[in-house]
Amino acid sequence: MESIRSRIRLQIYDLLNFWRAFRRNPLGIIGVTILTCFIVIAIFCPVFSPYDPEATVGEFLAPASPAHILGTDQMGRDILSRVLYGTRISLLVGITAAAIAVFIGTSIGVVSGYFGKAPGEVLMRLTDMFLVIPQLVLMIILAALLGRSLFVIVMVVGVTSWPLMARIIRSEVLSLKQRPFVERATSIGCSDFYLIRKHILPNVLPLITANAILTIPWAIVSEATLSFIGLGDPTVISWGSLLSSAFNNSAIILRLWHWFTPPGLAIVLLSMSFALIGHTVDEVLNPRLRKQGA
Amino acid sequence: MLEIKDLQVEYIVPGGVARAVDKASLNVTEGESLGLAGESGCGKTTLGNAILRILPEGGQIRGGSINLNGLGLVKLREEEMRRVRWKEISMVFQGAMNSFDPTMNIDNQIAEAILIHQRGTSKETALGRTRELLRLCEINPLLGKSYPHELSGGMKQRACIAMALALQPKLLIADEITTALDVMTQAQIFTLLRDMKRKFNLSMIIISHDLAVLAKNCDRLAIMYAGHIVEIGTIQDIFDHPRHPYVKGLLFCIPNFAGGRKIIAAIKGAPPSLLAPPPGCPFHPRCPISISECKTAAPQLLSVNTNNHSVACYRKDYKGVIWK
Amino acid sequence: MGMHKYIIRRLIDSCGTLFFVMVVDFFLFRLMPGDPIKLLVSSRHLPPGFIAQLEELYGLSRPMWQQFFIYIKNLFTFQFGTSFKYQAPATPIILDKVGNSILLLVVSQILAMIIGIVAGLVAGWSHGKPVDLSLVTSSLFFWCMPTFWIAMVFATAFAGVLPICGMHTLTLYNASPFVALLDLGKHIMLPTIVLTILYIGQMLILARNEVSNILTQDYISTAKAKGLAPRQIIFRHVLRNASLPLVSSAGLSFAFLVGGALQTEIIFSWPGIGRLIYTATLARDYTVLQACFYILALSVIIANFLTDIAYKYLDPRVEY
Repeated sequence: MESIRSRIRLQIYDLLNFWRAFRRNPLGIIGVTILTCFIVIAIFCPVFSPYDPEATVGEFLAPASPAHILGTDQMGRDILSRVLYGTRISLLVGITAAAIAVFIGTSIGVVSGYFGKAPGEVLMRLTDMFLVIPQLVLMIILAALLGRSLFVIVMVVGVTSWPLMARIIRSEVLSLKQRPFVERATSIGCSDFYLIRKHILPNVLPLITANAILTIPWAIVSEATLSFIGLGDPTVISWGSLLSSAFNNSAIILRLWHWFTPPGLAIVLLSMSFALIGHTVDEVLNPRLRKQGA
Repeated sequence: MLEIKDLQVEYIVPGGVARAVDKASLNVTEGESLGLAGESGCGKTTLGNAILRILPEGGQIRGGSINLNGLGLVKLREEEMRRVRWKEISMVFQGAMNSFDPTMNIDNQIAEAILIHQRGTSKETALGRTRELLRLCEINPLLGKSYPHELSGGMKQRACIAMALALQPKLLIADEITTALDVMTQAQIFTLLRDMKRKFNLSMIIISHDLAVLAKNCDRLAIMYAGHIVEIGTIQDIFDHPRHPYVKGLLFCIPNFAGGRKIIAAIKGAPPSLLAPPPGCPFHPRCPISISECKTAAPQLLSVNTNNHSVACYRKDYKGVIWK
Repeated sequence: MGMHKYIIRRLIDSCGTLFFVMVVDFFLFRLMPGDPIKLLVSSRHLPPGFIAQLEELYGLSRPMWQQFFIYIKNLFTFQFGTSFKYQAPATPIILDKVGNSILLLVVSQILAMIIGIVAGLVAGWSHGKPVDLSLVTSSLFFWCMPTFWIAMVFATAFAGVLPICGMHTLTLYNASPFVALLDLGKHIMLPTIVLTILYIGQMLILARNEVSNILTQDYISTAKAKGLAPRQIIFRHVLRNASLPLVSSAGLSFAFLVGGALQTEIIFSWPGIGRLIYTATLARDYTVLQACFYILALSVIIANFLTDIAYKYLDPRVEY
């Protein structure tokens, strides 16, 4: 009982220290602020949206006006409401798909890094070969073959994005394995599983965290891209599908800035917030040693 | 030849301003090798870097003067300082592993020093000179074509020495050059250095925390503590008649192989933080014989005999046993 | 390890990877729910003789492992079967467009690497200062942008100024080479800018981190002590060492860039493989998709091979 409480206290202390270091970085704060706004929008979008995003409420392709701040699309639906609702899908898919990719990537990375020689080498070659395949092309083909649903999108993005993570984790595990404390633990007779759980994983955690957060923007942008190409779930509102409608209704030629700028900007800002946070977490947890004179 | 007077070097760090070197003064005459000793963090490397004005980011010379044969180095413009670097004063660094660019071979890097300073020298001449230098430092000249990662630690260090001598400087600063090497290689390197010194009438500043190395290879020795030079004199004077309590403590730590059993005393405490050094003498918190004056003003380096033996201590004439 | 041995080992490696790609390509389209090839055969209105062609090409009536070897043979000989959409041999359709994509990709990648390393140098040199922070932020900003969206923005913004459609102006079919080149230049400008922007961010951050790291190295202090001026230090020592991670990652980033090129080609109607994949996806033209997958993976493998060789040339420390 005592030890659990003191362990929790230590964790909280660590977290507070981390937050203090994180706070010092202006970019990180901006990222957190933006992300919070998006989360609020995602949760409360029915409150914020002026109209039902699926309902035809105005003229077709109406320009921006006080009634419709961002105009209407080709079916007369209010664009602003659709943009607000799109937040949900992007956050959902982004985080879930990234989680899948991180899980697969970390597992493979840790296993291939820890169990060197035969199994490790094979896994690494496999990873490298996957990296050769253009990810977007693979995603497109898989999505085209498997059908159009949210589940498919999440799985496809998750399953194609793990190799990079695996590589990064693997090289870290490899270098950790060389460290004296691992050698000593082995000589005491610790089992592999124990070593991985107690020594390797905690030391790799900072790297995992930073990279996991940085995987989310990739997942968000990938989902948007797949939706844009027409492989997304037709029953949900996604920023990508909004942009697809815009493109297919000659928004470029007709210069309908109000239609395609907001969804794109939203994608960028949401991704940016995660990227800034991830970049800051990386700088805090994995400091690059700078030489000071003696 | 080289005169340093009241040099002050500071580092601006996140926590404030650290006084790495505080009013340090020393001299090096022609053909003489001066040892610079002290614990890690005492400022000796900073002093070496300051002479060449290659302090890292955040470091700056706050005051004092460095004179090389009358030429003031502190106030010199950067372009002129570049001409002084390597040509008049050169340096051999601690990590020979990293002193060479890994993507260029040794020949080219040594030749680079020559070509940069002596415009108009042809590449062949520079390479020829490089080969001579390598031979001088007991490296097979054919190895010049190798890359740094293909040489052993000792060979790399010798190549660094060859590079340092490329322009026949007047002063060579050796900063902890053998700390990362084994004892045998260490001995070889220093033998080489002594040969070079004799051949070219080189002056040297040898920075090290290893008193044994300094005893063997230097004519005179300066001891630093927390950025101050606390004692300076000939090897004989320092080892046989130390005057500063800290120096006495250091020497007392050396076990005596020949004599009877001796209990080695340790100096209690730790060196002060350079961000907030104690007022007065930096050693007074750990000094068993400190008096009230020690707390108020830092003692000056004052001569104690005619042989250029100077000590910065109010109690330099104390004759009793300090460390038990 | 000598250059020759290295090249041979990398070649063998690349072949192994190519084989893996072929395997994936084969199984991708066969083991998916509802074997697409079989689906195609059974559900489409196919012209007479088509099924016979398919049989000849794929050996659909034979056991799976035989089909596999037939398939491998076909890929090696660049026989890609027949496009369902166009009802014509797929090979010329595809090979015709490869060059266009390669052109776009190579130009953008080189441009991005050059700009990336220069900007990364500036950022790394002033680590932590405002210049650095703003460069890093802009890099992250561009990395987070969906390529197709940047393309849309640029297309809309420059619609009257630069051509936004295709590779050549249709009316210039008889023009002199110089005029044709100029025309190509005008058409390639926007797609290249878009692709380069996508890629610069990655290069910049890589270069900047490496430069930051290099500047703390001892050989830089040695260079400074030797009396080298900052410009000399940069050109002789920093640049070469800093470009190493960029070159080493260039091969893999090529795969990433292919995805970007795909989107760019869609928006700008650039007649390349990417756009072909798009139209093939919409039409569910699996033969073409299968072949495009193979061609793109092959290009990435070749790009990887070339960059590995280049890297070995730059960094003498590399063992296999």
